[in-house]
Amino acid sequence: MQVEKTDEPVKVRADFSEGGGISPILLKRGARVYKVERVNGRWEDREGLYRIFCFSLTVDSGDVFQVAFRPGEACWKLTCVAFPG
Amino acid sequence: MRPQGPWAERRSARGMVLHADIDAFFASVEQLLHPRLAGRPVVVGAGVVASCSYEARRRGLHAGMPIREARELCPGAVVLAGDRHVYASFAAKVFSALESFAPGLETHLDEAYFSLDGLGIPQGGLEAFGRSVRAEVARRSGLSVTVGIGPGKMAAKIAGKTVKPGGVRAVDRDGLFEMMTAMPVEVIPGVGRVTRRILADFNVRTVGALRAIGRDSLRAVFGARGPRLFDLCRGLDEAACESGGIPACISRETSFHVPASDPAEIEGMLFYLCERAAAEARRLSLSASVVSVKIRYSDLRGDEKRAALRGPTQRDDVVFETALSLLHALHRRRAGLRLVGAALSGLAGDRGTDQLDFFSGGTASRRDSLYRALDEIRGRHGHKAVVAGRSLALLGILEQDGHGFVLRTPCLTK
Repeated sequence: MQVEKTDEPVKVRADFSEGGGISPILLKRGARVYKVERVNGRWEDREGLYRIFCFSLTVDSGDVFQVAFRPGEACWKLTCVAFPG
Repeated sequence: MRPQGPWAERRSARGMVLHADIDAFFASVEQLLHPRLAGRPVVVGAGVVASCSYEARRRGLHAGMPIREARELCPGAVVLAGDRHVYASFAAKVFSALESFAPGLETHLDEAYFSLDGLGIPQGGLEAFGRSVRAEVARRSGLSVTVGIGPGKMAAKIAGKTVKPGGVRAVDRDGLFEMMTAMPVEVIPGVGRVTRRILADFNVRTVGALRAIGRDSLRAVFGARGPRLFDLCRGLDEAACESGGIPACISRETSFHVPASDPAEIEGMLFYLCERAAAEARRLSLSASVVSVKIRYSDLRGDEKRAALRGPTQRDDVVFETALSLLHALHRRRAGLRLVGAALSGLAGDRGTDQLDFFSGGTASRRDSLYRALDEIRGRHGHKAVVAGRSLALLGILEQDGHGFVLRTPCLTK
């Protein structure tokens, strides 16, 4: 398995539930749209006071993407890509 | 009226302790986040193995083994550098699940204890309770824990060791005594390499054999530790669960990406580590009386020195001044350094500010204010918001993220 760290802005469509839960559904990287097949894990990180919500997602290509959502800036970033190899 | 629900059977669990240990912690988190790794040998670490999955352990890999050796033993292993912030977040999830059963958790990196005093024994007995703890942790974190329950911390830990990974076992005092008899002496807390070697000289290798030695003889060989060994090998452990207690030490260490020989880089790293350790002491409202520095050369030979500080302190500059003189005393060879570390010990509750120096002209209190201001800025904007002092030398050498410099092996265990 190859793991590549990155810091790339991506577009994510997600469900925001009332309890504060976030569930990514679709991810757009460049021109390609990936369907999220499974949320493998979710965790929280911090940068000072700011919370960052992180997710490990298996997408329909079979790759695993790690994405981070910064509520303060309302932006998503792709932080890591893992693919067979 | 008899209590209802799971706690209806009110036999006392007084003196019983539950120990939960996250199975192959770092490797399990990686397997959770990368489902393709499930069932495969996974190694986390840089330079040496920090954690490895049970699949890797079955091939002879273990923590502390050089990665090169691990690759030779298990060429199919997936080696990952790991991310301590992710692991810390998952540990917090596990501890939060455990806290839903009882407050006053004693937490370590990948394990926790809590006392069952006052909880009573639930219907179904202690092992059923352990299984419900295990299930709740898995539900909230996705991770597997091994649960041991016994009369004391040592008993609970040993009970869990016999059913790793993912098992649940409860023992009473008699069961513990019997279970420990054939176990090697290393299962006793505090028995490390040196004690094991001394005992081996007396042909004592198992707990059962250790029981044949009298209390006075153990005191003669091991001093004040002797009587404790005498009790522990009989399963008598009075250590209480400590939540939020004063840690024995606060340490920060890392290896270098390539062996470092530039004094500016080495001293910059030492400054950064001292700064992080002192900031942690301030966060915990503790002051340190002793600082120690550890180095390891590129040929893996290493050394460590400690020195008392002028007085209890939590100031970066005071800690660094002593640490730097220790580094100069230690780093005598011309070989590059592979690792450097700093640790604060002799920790006690903070009295507010350091003892004022009559001749300092108020420098001490200005420094105190400066460090508290830096803590506040970094607490709000992340550690990289201010790079101070000699750690400026690390700019351009190391990358930074929201937590500060990205170290090669940022002491995953600290």
